[in-house]
Amino acid sequence: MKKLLSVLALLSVCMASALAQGSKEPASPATTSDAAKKERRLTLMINDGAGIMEGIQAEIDAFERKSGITCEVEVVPSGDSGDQFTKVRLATGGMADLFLVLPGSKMLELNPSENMMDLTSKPFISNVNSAFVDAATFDGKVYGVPAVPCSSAGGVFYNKKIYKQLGLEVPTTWDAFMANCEKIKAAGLYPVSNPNAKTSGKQLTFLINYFYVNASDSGFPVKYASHQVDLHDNQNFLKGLKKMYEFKARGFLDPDSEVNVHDDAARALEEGRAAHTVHYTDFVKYLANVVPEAIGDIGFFPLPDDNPDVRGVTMWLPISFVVNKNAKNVTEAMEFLNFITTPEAVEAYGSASQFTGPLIIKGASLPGTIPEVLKEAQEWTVKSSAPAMEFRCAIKGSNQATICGMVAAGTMTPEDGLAEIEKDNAIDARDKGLWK
Amino acid sequence: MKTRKTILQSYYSYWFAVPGLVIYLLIFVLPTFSSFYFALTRWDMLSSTFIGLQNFKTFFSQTNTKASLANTFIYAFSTSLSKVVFGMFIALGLVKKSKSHSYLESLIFFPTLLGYVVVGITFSKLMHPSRGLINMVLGSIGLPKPRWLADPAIAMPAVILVDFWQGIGITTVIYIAGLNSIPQTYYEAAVIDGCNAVQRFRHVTLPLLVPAINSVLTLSLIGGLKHYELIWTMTEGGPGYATEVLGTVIYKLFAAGNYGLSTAGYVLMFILTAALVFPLNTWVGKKEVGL
Amino acid sequence: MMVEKKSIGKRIGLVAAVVFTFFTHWVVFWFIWVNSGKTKSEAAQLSARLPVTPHFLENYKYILDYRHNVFIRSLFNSLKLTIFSISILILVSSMAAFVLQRRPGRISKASHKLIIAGLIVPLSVIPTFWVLHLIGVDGTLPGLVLVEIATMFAFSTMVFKDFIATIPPDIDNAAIIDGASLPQLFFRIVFPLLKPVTTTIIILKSVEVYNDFYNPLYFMSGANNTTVQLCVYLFQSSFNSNYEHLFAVVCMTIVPPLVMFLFLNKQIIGGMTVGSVKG
Repeated sequence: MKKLLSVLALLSVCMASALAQGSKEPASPATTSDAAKKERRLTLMINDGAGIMEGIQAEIDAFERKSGITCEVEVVPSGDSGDQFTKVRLATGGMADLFLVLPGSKMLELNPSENMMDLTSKPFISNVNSAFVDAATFDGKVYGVPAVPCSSAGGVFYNKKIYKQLGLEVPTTWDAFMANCEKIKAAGLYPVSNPNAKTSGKQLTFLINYFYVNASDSGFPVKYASHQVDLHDNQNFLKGLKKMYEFKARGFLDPDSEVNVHDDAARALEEGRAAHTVHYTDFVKYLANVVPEAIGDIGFFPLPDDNPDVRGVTMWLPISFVVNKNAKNVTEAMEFLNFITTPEAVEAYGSASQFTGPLIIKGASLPGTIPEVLKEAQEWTVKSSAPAMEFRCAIKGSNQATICGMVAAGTMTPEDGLAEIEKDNAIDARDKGLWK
Repeated sequence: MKTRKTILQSYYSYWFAVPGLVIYLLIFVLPTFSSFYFALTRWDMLSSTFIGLQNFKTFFSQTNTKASLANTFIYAFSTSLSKVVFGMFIALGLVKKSKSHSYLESLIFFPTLLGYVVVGITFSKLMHPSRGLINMVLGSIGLPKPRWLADPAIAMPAVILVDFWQGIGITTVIYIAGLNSIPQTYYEAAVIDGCNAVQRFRHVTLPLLVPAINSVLTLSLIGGLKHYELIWTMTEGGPGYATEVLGTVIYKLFAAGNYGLSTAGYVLMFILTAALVFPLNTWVGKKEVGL
Repeated sequence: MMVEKKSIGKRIGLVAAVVFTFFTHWVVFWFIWVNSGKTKSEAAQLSARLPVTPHFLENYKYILDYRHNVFIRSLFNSLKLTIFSISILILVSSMAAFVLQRRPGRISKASHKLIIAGLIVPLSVIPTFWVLHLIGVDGTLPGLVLVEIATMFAFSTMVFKDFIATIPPDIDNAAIIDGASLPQLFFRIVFPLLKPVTTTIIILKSVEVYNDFYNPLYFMSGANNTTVQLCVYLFQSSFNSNYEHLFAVVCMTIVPPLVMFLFLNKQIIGGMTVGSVKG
């Protein structure tokens, strides 16, 4: 017992001394010698998104080598807890010079005019694809620059071998797609295998179908934000849910889809047990890792609808760097942003992470070694694409994934699903002060 | 008696409790309870607008709230009662000093060290309907293969089971500590009085274990009502609303940026938990044997 | 403990328990360990088979080398955090529990309610951060230590209180009559009697602090202040397909708490002579 007490006492002494010298961030190296050049620093906070963190880190490393600026990187959670974390840091101070946020509604949530620096007049903005710049612009001011050079295109991944075996053609309408699926089912394979276990996979068909909402009414998000319309006023929302429902209702869906995550779906597709997966090109990461030798068998076509002449992909824009309005190292931050909008940075990114979609940095092009499926997706992005709804509209209810999951599993009809989503979205819209 | 009480009061000076209570109040209680204010606001963490009790109305208007309330109670009571009851019997079996007993105790405690993420991922994979180890084994000996987390009827029991697997170690360890605190002399006296094992249990062990039972019951019940992380990792509240609990509803609201609403959910959870736990804790506490 | 001869029934029961736990526990541990030694594509299958070519050393080395040995730094930070938090926690909560249990009165009753309430609510980050900011310890290790103590105080005090209730006041009285002061009574006589519960709280709460992911993230910022859980997180976020690294880092992170648990458990089991004190 005495021993324990003396240990406790000793520890308390240690604690006291630690308190005395407790420091916050590691202090900048003391310039004890006047002759030493002042070291330039930059602090960055990056979120650990699956498969992109390495690429961003490679860009930072390349910048560090080129500019001589010491970069201190803090890695924090991504996803929903990451959003909360970013907000807490902003609210309590202690945010780094540069941090990450998705363009569109997420950026808007962080109150750009208060928390981020205006980049509109900077020369490097012209290096960035206009769809991205639009999504990072609020009240006429641009706030962000892509941290990841690729966008992600949403559509249907398919197994070319199966198509060849059964003599199928790439469908240009939904009915043709369903007809293909019937033949595949008759051959004893799963026509569709979707990763419906997690939030990140459940809603994809519904979200990817947004292209058709946009094609019929590109002004929908603005009207929706001011409550002039609701989701049922554009039939394509219901259609998106119906497509999801039909996979299950007609027995086309791999029964394991409900517990499958992205890896599982990639495996089913590449091993030839399933013929299609509805996903966006981010999926390429998984295809390249799970059965790398089979990635050449995979192709891509846009999710079809009724009109074969109106087809396209929905685009997801990548996460962007923004500058903290209270950044300490502003010049260094701007130098960094200038760097990452160059082809050199894109190359650095590609050395550590997979390219997962069409590039949005001008002057850079995907290497010829990218998988065939990416080339096909790239063609479609150039030909016919629209940004996903979240980049134009801040309204999204907390239960959308759950509701989509139920429609995808066939336990809720598309009509009920749409009603639920509308109700859920309304709660969000009111909470965010958009609707009354 | 009165003089004795006053002597006691002045002897046991509250100063002894001050360091702990100050840290507790200043850094935990005050900030946390003051944040309840945000339940009455629209809050995006950067600024807030007062709206009264509207958040509570909205919270109840959600379709999944009702299902989540029922599930929360089922989850909480199943996990806590099973841990309270089984923990005691396991502890009784393991409290002896032999090597095999302490080996089993360490083994049962080990899952707690793994953290809910690893346990959640591991069991999700083990319970995969077609490729998971559990079903492969069941299939090979000719038993039916349940769809576990994909089946709305079985998902909740499955999650309860995993929670039990992970948490029973904590309960057991607390019980063993309680059993080790009972002086040998009481048992020796009971043997001399001619009591058999069952009577010793009823008259010596059980009464003196009441504080441990109270601790375990209070803690596991609160945990069961509050914790959702394991459920989220395994099923995200699904399939459908089958494993949706208050915690997952609140988490989704938080993730969607509806901070005022989710705080209202927390306040609600607090009220419900307090309404259950305070009376229970007091009632069991009364049975503590004063020596 | 109970002095009995081991009957055949008990032996069978013991063997049955060991066999049972083989399936319920060892299979799971095996699953985690075996997947920590596979290559990326093999680990992605998440089977229970042995690795085709063992990659244990490579995977573990990868973890250690990752990002300029962030794992080792994190381990050090986690251990520092755990030791400071737990030692101070035990001190202040046992002292508080003693007085709150022994002394009847309104403050004691109110504290009891406050403690249970504290068990129910989760910590609220932003207001707590502001309090730390006022004191000037936001973003630092001492600040985080205070947060850990504050969040664990309720549990620790409650458990101590419940066990102190089983110590008869006669012991106190004897010491008081002998002229002992309160600190003397507590540290020399009562605290030693609490060894089983103290050890239990140390075990349970050390694991909790060590496994804590969010508090260090919010309250102790900076690239050099990572804890061990952040390392685990780096390998598991969003179902990244590097399962072999996830399981390897898990195997490495559980070593310190496991060692601590085995060591402390021996303390409980060896040498319990509580009975002799109660003359």
